Amino acid sequence: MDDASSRPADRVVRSEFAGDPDMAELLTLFLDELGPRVASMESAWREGDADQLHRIAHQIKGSAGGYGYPGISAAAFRIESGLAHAGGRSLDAIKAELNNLVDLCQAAIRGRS
Amino acid sequence: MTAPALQPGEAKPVVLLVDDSQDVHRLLRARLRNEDLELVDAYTGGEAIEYARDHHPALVLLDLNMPGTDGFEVLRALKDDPTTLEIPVIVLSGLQSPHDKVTAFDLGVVDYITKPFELTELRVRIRSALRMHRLLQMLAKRARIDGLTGLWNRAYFNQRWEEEHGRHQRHSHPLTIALLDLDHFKSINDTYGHPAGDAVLQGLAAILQREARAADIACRYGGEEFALILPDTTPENAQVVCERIRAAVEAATWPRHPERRVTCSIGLVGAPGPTETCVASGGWLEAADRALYAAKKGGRNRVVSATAIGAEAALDAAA
Repeated sequence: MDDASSRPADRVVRSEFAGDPDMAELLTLFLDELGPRVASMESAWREGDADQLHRIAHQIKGSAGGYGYPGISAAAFRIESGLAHAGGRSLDAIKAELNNLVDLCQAAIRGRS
Repeated sequence: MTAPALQPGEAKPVVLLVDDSQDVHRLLRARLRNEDLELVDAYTGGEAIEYARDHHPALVLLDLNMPGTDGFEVLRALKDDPTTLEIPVIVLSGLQSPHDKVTAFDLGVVDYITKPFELTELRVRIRSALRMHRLLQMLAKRARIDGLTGLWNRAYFNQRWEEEHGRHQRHSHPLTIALLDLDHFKSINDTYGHPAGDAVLQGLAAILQREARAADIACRYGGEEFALILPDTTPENAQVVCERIRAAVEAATWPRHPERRVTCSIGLVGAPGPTETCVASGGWLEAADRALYAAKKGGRNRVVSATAIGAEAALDAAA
């Protein structure tokens, strides 16, 4: 996960519900927890723990869309299905998808209002 | 027991959300805040099954992919239990294989929403499921109630009588059944017209509901005949209840014909506790009917117990 040159560090993703007062508090909670989740996914990838990676990706897929981040859900879905197809082989196969998801999550965390 | 009111309850319908993800619980709680429902959270399949059995929510929103007891197992458990079978279930799931959808619908879910969900769609699907559930409950209730009098109807009586009779045979609890028939009802209809006759039937129903005890089951048996099931009641005690009903009918005045009193005859049969012979439920009804006939023969406006006329001999013969 070290090819930072390909990641525009100033990229920002905002929730579709960013202006919705009903959602302000929930978005804060979601984004607060997103950072640690990203860290857990990266360490699971390094340790080759496919189950843990799958579990977190599945959770993010299920919830991110509901919090106004359909792109993050879609990226998490690609990891989930990538893992299903990898069937226990090396996790290298999904590295690009993981990078993409991590980028989007970090862009969302930067974009919090 | 008086028949239940037909109005939908004032309480908000309870919706049970079953999902292992805290995110989803928070999100739905916020998004459904303005809906007319009460949301209850379950984080595991086991918790969900237990809650559904104890509290019968109006709707279950069920995630399929959960660690431990997964959504399919919850679904099977709910559908295998007659007490939870009728609770509608909407699946909220990230699983997108057509096979899972087919399995879920085969197991009896009413709807299937894939995550991440579109919130407006989720709201309208929940409303639709709750509306349907309310209508079905209302229909089920109406199907057991007599339209004119508001008492339980004959169909409900048949089912309930078998249940109470069976309970008596298993546990030897006391049990009494009374049949009540209005005296000379035809002449009320002929003299004052059918609306007056209907008013008498409704008035009698009101007296039954007022004078019977909370646990008694008052039913319209047919025409001008009524049945009262008195669970856990000996024939002696039932006689007191029936006498009170008879007296209340005799004392009532009728706005459409104040000059004309109405009376009724009642026949009852019961067992004070364990019985030597095992009499079929139909045998009891025949014996009660004989007692009713004896009350009519004896001059009407009276309560006759099967014991008094030896109709229980007929009961024994039917055994």
